[in-house]
Amino acid sequence: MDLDADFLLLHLSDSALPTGAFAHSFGFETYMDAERITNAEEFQDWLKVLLKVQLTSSDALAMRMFYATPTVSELKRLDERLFAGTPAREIREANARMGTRMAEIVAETYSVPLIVEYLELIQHRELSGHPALALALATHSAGIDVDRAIHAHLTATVSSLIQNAVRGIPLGQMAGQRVMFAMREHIGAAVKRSANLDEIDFCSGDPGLDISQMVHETQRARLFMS
Amino acid sequence: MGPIRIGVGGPVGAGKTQLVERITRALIDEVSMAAITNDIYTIEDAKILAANGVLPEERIVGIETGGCPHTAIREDTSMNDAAIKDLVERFPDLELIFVESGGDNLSATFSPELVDFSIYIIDVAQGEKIPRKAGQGMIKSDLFIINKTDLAPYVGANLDVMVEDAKAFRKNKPFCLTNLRTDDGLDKVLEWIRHEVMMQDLQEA
Amino acid sequence: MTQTQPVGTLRLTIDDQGPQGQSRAVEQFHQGALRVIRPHYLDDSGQVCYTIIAIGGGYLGGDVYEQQFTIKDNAKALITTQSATKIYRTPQGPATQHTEINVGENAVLEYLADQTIAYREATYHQFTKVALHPSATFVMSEQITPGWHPDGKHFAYDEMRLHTEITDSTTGRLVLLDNLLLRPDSREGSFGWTEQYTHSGQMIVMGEGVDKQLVAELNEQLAAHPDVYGAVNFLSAPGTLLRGFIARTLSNRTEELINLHEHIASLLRGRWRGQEPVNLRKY
Repeated sequence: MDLDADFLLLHLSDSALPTGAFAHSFGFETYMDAERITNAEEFQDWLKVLLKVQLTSSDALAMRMFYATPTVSELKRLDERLFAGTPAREIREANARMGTRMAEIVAETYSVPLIVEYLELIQHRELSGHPALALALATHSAGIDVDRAIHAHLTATVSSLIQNAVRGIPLGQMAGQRVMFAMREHIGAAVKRSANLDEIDFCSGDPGLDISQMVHETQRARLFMS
Repeated sequence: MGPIRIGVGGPVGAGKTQLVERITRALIDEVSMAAITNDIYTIEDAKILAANGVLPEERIVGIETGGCPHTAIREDTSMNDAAIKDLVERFPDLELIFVESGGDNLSATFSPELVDFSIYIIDVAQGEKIPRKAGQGMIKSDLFIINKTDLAPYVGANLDVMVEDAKAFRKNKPFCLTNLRTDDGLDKVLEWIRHEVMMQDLQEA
Repeated sequence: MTQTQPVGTLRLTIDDQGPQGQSRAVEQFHQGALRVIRPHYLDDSGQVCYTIIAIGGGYLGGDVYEQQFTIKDNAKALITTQSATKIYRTPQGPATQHTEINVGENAVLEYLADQTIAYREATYHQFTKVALHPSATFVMSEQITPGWHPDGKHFAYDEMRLHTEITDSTTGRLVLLDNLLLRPDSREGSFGWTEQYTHSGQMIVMGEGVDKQLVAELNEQLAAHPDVYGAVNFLSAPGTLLRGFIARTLSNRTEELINLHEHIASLLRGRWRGQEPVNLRKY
């Protein structure tokens, strides 16, 4: 058992990691405003779609592609495509902020190859930063296999979205925990499905989900930045 | 080095935005300043500051913190850090940045990595017992302000009691009484900024 | 580009060296099922208008179509289709269309396509690669319509993929990777997808005139539209001066989407170049 690798994984996928994730709804607030998400069941339905459609083809696939070619040029290419592949401005900016912060945390704590370079490219405004890539740099160098790394990232993302739903909708804490447990098999399925995707699938999305995230910036009363 | 950052915290309606507005108005000719407002739902505070104040709009950044205003100034300050970085890039001459928190509960404090100094402001109308509740914001802040002193007779608050409680909890740390509608007591706040924060007396010596 | 001979190929290169500085084709190549009608000038701006005809009547399984449009510096073009692009059953494999577009310095291309109709058991893959000079103006709109089905069922098609890449031709930087994927079978839950609507549309506009104010204005118009649900978002990226917006729209009728897209295109051509509204009456 590699305790150091376990530590890194638990540390960086802790939903309390200060990356600003607490301020983003990734579009569920739009459905809250339309009164289509009002309880745990509806929220869970939405979360399944977000995971299946977006997180699998963007975050999970990006991590997998970085593992396949762990070089600076691939890192640049993936960062560029993740940013360009997100039509909703608020989500692009959310990922850039969280990714930058994640890269800063990794650079502050672990001596991981490429992380300093990644951070510099972000600071020089050549790249944008994305949490999935910053995490992949760390997990790859710690020898954590790609499935576990993707699993940890998706679990952390789902967990912080649930915490935001508990505050925002609001849901009861135990209802939140039930949603979390129910997501277990869907996260596992997303990890598996991402292994069958190709370059052509990168950042594929559907119009409805995109619109829900794009229209959020015009919403009058809101709790979340995205 | 970069600019000095002052956090301004306090309950909803205590006068945080007004305090920043009055301070920046008074210091506009001597200090290069900017302000960040943290607001739960909207960027209304930023809009109010831009509409009423002397700071140019591009020096005011409004942040929507979501449901947890205290998180954005305490355990996860990434949004505010990004805003500060952005301001410093755009205005390299900045000397002072105010980080106004959203209306918090009494225990909200600022992360020491986010601000260099903090001000906690309450108002008399919220009740004479507020200092006695010994909130961390009131105790830990570098300057404590009791605002809207003119309302004391109308809400049955005894200023002397509030002053005594503040002294007891804050030991010898400074506090002021203000009425920001008339700038009553603002000079004490400015003095604190000039001496304790900017250390202007040292610079001149 | 592909191993097999395409069913249709079309290449157009347009410059601004025609009489009185009009834009005109300097290179025109077509093969197989793709043709263009002789050029029109819809106004006195010098902008040339080409209409593409797919003479096969529709795309079938395994069909590959290739298009290439090059708009040279300062030239202005409008490219449209004569009628809807129909995708029929594709048991032999997806129908595919590759389009490469290059728009030069201060050049303008409006590429306003009719709807793409996807029939039962159709799979269609559309790849569009656009390279733009930062001073270029590019307007593209398209609509996806579910084809008629004997049972009245919508979404009988298998898969529609519209994959669009927009790149800065001077820096190589990607600004937009728009990978729209509609797979009715894999739809899950009631969120996302085409929500409660049947038709989806999208518009991509790149140009120096796009700013956040324009985006806000268009969002206000969309919010007030009774029959279209959609949103407009600003596009920009590190490493390029290109800016633009993407609009995603949903409705229950093709005309609503086409009219909205033409309305936006007209608004911009009037505001940016003083041209009259688009008038492509083909029906």
